[in-house]
Amino acid sequence: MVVEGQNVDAARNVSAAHGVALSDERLRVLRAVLARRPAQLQMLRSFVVDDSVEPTHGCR
Amino acid sequence: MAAADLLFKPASDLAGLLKARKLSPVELTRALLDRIESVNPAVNAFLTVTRERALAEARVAEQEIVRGKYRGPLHGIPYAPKDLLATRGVRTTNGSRLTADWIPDYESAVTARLNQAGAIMAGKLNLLEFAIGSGQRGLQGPARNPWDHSYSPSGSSSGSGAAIAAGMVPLTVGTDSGGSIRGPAKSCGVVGLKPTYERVSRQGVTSLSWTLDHVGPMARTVADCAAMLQVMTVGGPDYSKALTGKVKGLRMGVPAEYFFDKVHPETETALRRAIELLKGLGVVLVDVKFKNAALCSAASSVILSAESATYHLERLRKSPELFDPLVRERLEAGTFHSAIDYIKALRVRTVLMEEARRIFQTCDVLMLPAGNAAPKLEEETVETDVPRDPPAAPRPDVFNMANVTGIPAIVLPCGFTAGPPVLPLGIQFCARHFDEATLFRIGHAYQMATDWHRRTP
Repeated sequence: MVVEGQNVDAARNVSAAHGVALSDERLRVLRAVLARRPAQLQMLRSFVVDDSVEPTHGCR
Repeated sequence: MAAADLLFKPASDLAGLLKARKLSPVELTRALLDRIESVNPAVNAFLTVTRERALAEARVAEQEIVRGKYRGPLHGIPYAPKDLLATRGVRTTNGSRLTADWIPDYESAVTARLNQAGAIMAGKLNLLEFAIGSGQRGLQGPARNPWDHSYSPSGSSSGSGAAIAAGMVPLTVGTDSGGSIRGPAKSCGVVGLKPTYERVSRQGVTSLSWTLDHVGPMARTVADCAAMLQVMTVGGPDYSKALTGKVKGLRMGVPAEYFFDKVHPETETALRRAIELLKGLGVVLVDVKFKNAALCSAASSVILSAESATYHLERLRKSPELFDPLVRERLEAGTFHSAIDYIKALRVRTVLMEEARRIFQTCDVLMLPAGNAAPKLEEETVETDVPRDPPAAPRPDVFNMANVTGIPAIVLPCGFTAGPPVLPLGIQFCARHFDEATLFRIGHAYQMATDWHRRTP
């Protein structure tokens, strides 16, 4: 995830790649939402998962 | 029987009267429709009321019962689904301007099964837009908490909780991707079950997050939820056998940390009182530790965000202005997740499921808080479309664990705040995959020993 407007051009490019055109105004609106995610994302990213663990989509 | 005497009866009581022909489905349906007409302007639980259709179905049910063709415990009982479930020929809005005029030509699997069992659809219930929106807004304004109209019923199945608490219908259907059945159950003082993932068909239900979405029953009692689940599923056990009131020897895990970290003292007192009561009934307490509990919220946040943004991508491209500003903002933010983060979240989910399995080797049921009492509606207001700081608070994470691991969880009332205002408090039980019967067993025993579920606003 591109974090809180540190790189607005990169953020704009990410959204454009999905066909969602985000103006600078929209990116400013999203800044607060994106700003609260790094802590959770960091927790997820830094959690070490064994190589044998595969993704689970449901409950099985 | 006076109409006022019918409004707050559990469906099981009503079923007994209907089967014995002491009550007519038409009389019951008319009483509830009149109640809806009377209180919905204030509570706003219903987006659509299908009065004529309901009365027509009630007349058919009446004739069938008189002829001895009794279909079962839901026959002739009015219910209402969250307006996220497709209903053939009946407007299905998803609480959104984008689908405000959608009239499906098909029926969701769940409503089809309920209709087949003879339940009578009274209308469609209010919700947060696409099950992700703001508590303050909504297609026709927010549903309000029947215990105090200035308070939130919680969401996203806001109308599903409020309609039962207000005596509009005894049975509703909700959906739950991160607490959206259990939160409203807690805030409105009713029972809400999030079944095991894929225990109930999601066919015909608008998605929020494919791998976190669950469809489940809400009612005044655990027994009514069991009767609903029996009908909503195919091939399950006979849940009525779990309603014995006996829990002696049942092992109940109570995590010592994390889940209780943000619990209000008033809520904690109610939960401790419930634990003592259950101990008195013979439940055996077991200390458990969910060491990666904090990861549940992190993983489910990424999964929900990425999946919901993917699901709504075309609408975001074509008509972003038609979303509620908060919904638009959340979905747009979801487009920033990388595939690597998403797959990591799914791998962490595997780890969390394994941890849940380990916990259930030492206990049969897990007791958790269900969050604190309902917030004021105005506290749920989030100003959007303007840069803001600090950001909105994350959702309570007492619920996400059951969504990300897929285990079943039930919430039922366990007390009230001292007030004013007097608001319901809830207790949550979780069990092994596909072991809803144990949730019904402990929940029913608890309701037989308490009267919280009999209180009305």
